[in-house]
Amino acid sequence: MELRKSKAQIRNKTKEILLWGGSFLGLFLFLLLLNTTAYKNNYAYNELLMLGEKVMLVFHGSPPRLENLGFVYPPLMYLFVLILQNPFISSAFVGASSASLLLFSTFKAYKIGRIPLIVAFSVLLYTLASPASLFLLSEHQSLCLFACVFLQLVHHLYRYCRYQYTIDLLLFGMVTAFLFFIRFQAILLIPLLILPFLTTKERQSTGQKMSIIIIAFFPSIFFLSGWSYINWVFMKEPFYFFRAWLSSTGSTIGWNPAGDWYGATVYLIDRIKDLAPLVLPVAVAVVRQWKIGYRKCRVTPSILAAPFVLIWADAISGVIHEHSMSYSILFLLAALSFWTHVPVEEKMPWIDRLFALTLIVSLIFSWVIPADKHREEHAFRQALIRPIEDSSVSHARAIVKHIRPTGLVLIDDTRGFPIVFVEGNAKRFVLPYQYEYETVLSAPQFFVDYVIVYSGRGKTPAQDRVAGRWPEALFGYLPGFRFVGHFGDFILYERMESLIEKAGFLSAP
Amino acid sequence: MNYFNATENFITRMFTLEYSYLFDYLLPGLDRLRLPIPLGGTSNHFKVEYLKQLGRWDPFNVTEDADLGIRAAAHGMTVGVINSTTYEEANSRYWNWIRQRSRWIKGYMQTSLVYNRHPIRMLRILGFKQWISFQLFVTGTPFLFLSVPIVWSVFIYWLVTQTKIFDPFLPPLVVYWGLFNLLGGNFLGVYLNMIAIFRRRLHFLMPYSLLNPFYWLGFHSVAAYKALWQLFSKPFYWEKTQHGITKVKSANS
Repeated sequence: MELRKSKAQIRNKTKEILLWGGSFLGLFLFLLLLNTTAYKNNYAYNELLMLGEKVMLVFHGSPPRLENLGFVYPPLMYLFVLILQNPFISSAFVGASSASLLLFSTFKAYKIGRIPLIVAFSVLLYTLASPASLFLLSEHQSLCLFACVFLQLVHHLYRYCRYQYTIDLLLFGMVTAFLFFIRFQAILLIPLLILPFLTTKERQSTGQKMSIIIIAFFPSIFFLSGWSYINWVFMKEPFYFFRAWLSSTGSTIGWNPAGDWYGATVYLIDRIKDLAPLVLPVAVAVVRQWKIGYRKCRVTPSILAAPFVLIWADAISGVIHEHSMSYSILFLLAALSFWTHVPVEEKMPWIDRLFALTLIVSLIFSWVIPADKHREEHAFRQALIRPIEDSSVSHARAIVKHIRPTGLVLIDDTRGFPIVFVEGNAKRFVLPYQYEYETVLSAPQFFVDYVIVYSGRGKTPAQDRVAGRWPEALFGYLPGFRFVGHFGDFILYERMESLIEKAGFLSAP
Repeated sequence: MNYFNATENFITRMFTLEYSYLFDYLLPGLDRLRLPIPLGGTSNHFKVEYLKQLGRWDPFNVTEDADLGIRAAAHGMTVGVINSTTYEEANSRYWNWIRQRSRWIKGYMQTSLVYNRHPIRMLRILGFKQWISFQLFVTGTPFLFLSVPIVWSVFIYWLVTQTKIFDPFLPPLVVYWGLFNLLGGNFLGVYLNMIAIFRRRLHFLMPYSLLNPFYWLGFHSVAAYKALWQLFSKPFYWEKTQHGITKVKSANS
């Protein structure tokens, strides 16, 4: 009997593994098809291009540029691109893992009766059919990874509050700390996440309460201190990573130069207004929470508030996401986690149905919301059907077409990373991290065949270093070089001598 | 095992922290993974016939209990952990603590040397998983304590003076790896201690877990160097620990 039971268990487990392994593989291929098709048609999210360029410099840079991965950017954001050495494969991998995990936990919750089939089905539909989720899963790798880890955090927090298992507290602490290594701003979630521990209804002594808080947040504090220490040792500035990360994020996502408390709050309200139809399920979650009340811990308010805090934290640090609706997914995940983790004693089918309905409404809105509110998703959708003309990839491709295969190029990759990535050969570029950059910058006509200048303004505080050294280059003049043309925000110059060589004037008689 | 006089002074607090982790997490972990368990001296229960099969224990080894655990693993026997607590007196005086610990570390050194006389044969007998576990926990422990003052000295000297004299010996990869070990190792050491005392509900010990690096350096390493000295000068000398010095009454007394 026992043997038969264990055989059946093994069979079920195998079936489960095959099912979810198959789903992962299917999703991975699907997402890879999406992002490679979009890239073929001239679209890739800037973050993917930046990751691709940085990893290219790690392996093929001259010299290899490994230190940036550790000291400037959050390391976990890079991990998968670094291992897989291709931003599209890594993005599809992270997306497929996250989506599989989400669907697995959703259908597990359905199996044990936490959520009705209609909710589980709505989640499946949303995941596979919403442009917001498809964009997040196939292009916005860092936020996708963040969402996946955030789901784990929520899972362990709910479980700890329910069962008080030490292992859940430990894992909660570790997962919270990992968030910091995906997005530095996540450290600002700590005050919010402390609340459930402080407001618990469990009888606890002050010492016990303090111990719980220490265990929960010690890893985050330790990692932050450790990171500051490493930056202090190597960069002589403890918070160098944060400053550098913000300026790099500013150059890839967007920059709000007036990022202060008031400005951030106004920005948050504006974003919520834009995203309101997409995040309706959060309102239903609030109603459900109000109806069922609290048992042990007040976890749900913190979880539901977390995405608001993250948008606000981004805004106050200057990073803005007004061209993408990816953040709406975090709101939906927070609301869904509440459903999958908190069972109700008395069934309320109406609120389950309302939740499913708002998910469908959100899905519909993600298709019909005006293009100016989500330019990234809009461009992504277009690029899945036909080539698009005005994008960083199309401009980079146009520039690369003009550059001779042997020509050396001077560029500041703070903004010019798409060109380096699209070209695919890091050795052809003279970049700011290289020892000889300043020398080349002071007299480019003696060293390089091409100069690329970024002429876009008002988007980032990180000035283009070529334009900073040669301001007249912004107006079509660079000594010793010929103006080739404008390509989006970039201007390409070609060396005069190179033109003479091309015409054969200097060739031997 | 745990201590009834944890509150007595700094030494007993640190000792309790260490043993809460060792007996509540590390040994049950080894048990669960079916790895050799170096036995501790208190509350061991044996089946006499198996003890005889093992040839009893090595009377020259000053941690004959640890030796016995490895001996059992080499004979394909398993040592388990029972879910109960024996309360003992934690050593509350520094030199007394050093005496006791130097004997334990010397015993680990002896055990390691004895079983590594034929390391390949040992590997064949134990299998890779058990062999590597033995090397890490029994051979590695004295090495770790001996290396702590060296690596901390190099690190502090470099930090204070920003000297370049170590640069030829420390290529970037070694520096990154060393930094990772410094942060990751200390983090794990401290955090696992925190978890252990949290489980034991010894919340008052929580801040003391942060002092673990000092405990390793000022206590364990001193004992390790004494043990190393004695391994050559008095290899079989049994450093007696003075018991009954605590001022705290046990629950049984």
